[in-house]
Amino acid sequence: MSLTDKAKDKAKKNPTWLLGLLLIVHLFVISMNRVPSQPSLRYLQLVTMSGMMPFQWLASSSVGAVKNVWFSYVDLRKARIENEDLKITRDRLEKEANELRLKVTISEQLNEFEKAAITYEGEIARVIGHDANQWFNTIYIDRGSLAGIEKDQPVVTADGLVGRVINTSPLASQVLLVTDERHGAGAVIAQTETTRWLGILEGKSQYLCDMRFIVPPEKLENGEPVVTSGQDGLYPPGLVIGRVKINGSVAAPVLVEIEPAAKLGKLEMVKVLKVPPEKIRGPVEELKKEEQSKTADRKK
Amino acid sequence: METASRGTSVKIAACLLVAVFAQTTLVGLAPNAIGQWLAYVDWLLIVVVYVCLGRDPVQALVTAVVAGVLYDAFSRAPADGVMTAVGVSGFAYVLAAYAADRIVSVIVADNLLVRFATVASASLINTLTKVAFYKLLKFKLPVLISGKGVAAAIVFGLVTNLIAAALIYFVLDRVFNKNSALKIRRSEARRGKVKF
Repeated sequence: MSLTDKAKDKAKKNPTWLLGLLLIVHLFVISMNRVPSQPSLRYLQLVTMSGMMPFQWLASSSVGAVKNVWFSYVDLRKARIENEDLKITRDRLEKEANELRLKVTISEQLNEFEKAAITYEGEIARVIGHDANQWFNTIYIDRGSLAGIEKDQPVVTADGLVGRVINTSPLASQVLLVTDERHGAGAVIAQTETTRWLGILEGKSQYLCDMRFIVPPEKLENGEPVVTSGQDGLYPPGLVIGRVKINGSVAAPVLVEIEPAAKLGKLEMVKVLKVPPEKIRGPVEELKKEEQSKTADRKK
Repeated sequence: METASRGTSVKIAACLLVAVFAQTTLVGLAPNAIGQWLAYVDWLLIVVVYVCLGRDPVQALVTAVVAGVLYDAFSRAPADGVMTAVGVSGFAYVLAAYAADRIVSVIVADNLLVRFATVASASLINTLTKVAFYKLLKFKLPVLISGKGVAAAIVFGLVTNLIAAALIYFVLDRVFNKNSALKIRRSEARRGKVKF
C-alpha cells in the first residue's frame, strides 16, 4: 500500500483533517484577493497589517518614548550650553549697555558743562570715589598732577561749586566739598548775587552750608543765589555756590543756611578749573594795596 | 477496482464541466421568466452533493475543491468594478460537501428524503458561507444590501436547488449507474450479505 493510499484511507476514516487542510488552503487563497476599496492591497496584507499593528504600535511607541527621552536629554544638554552662552552674551550686552549709558551720561554732562557759563579753562574728571569716613565730605577724581591738577584748584559742576582740590597724586586727586566743616578754614567769602552782601561760607553738613554775614543784610529772601566773591584768594568771582534757604524773608540775619546748587550726593563728572593765580589773587592784591595805601595815608 | 474509480472520477469531472456550462449559459439561454429562477440554481453544488452521496469523503472534498476552482474560473467581475473573491466558492463548497458527507455517513439510508435533506443543508451552508465571506470582505453586492436580499437568496437558492437536484439526480443516477448498483446492494441485503 502506497503512501497516497494510506493518506486516503486515513482521510476516509476521519475527513476532518482533510477538511481543515482544505479550508486553510482556501482561506489563504481568499486572503490573496484584493480589497475592493483598495485594489493595491490584498486581504492577506490587510490581515497581516491588522495583526501586526498592536505589536508595531507597541514597538514604535517604545522606540518613540526612548527617542523622546534621549532627544530631551540631548536638548537639555544643548539648552544648558546655550543658556551659558546666553548668560555670557547677556553679561556682555549689559556691560556694553552700561558703557554706552555711561558715555551718554558723560556726553550729557559735557554738554551741560559747555552750556554752563563757566568761562574758565579746566579739566573734566570723573568722580571715582567718596571719602570712607562719613564725617568728612571729600571725593576722589580720576585726574591728578599729570593732568595739570594742582592743590586749591576749584572744582565745579554745571550746576555750581563743588569744592576745591586739597590733595593731588599723579593720577588722582582729592576734592574737599563745600559742605565740609573744614571748608570754612579757608575763609571763603561769598556774596549774594543780587544784593551783594558779603559773608563767610562754612560747611555744615553733607548737604548744607552756613553763610555768616560780615554785615547783616537789611533784608534777605529765601532762594536768593549765592556766588563766590573772589575776595578769598581761593575761588574766582562769580561761581554759583547755592541758594539761601530760609523761611520767607528775614531781616538782618547773621547766619543763614545755604543749599549748594551742585548735586553733591550724585556727583559723577566734575570740572577742575585751571584759573590763573592772578585772576584769583587779583582782587585780594588790590584790596591789600588799597589797605596799604590807606595805612600809609593814616601814617602821614 | 482502480479502473472503476478512475471512470467515476472522469464522470465526475464531466459532470462538473457540464454543471459549470449550465451555470454560465442557462440563465442567458432560458426565457426571462425561467432564467430568473435558474439564476438561483447552483449546478456545481448539486453535483458536489451528489458525489457526497457516494460516501467517499475524500472524493467529495476534492470534487468540492475542483467545483470551487471552476466556479471562480468562470465567474466574472461585476461591471461596477467590484472584484470576485477567489476561493470563497471553494471554501463554501468544501464546507457544504463536508456537511453533506457527515449527513450521509450518519443516515445510512439512501432515498429521496435523505437526498433532499442533504441538498438543503448543503445549499444553506453554501449560501450562508458565501454571504458571510462577502460581508466580511466588504463586497458591495446587491444581495447583501438588505436582510431581505440575503433571505431571498437563501430561500430561493434552497428551493431551486432542491427542484433542480430532483431532476438532475435522476439523470446522474443513470450516468453513474446508481440504480443498478442499488438493486445489486438491495438484493444482496435481502440475502443477508449487506446490512443497512
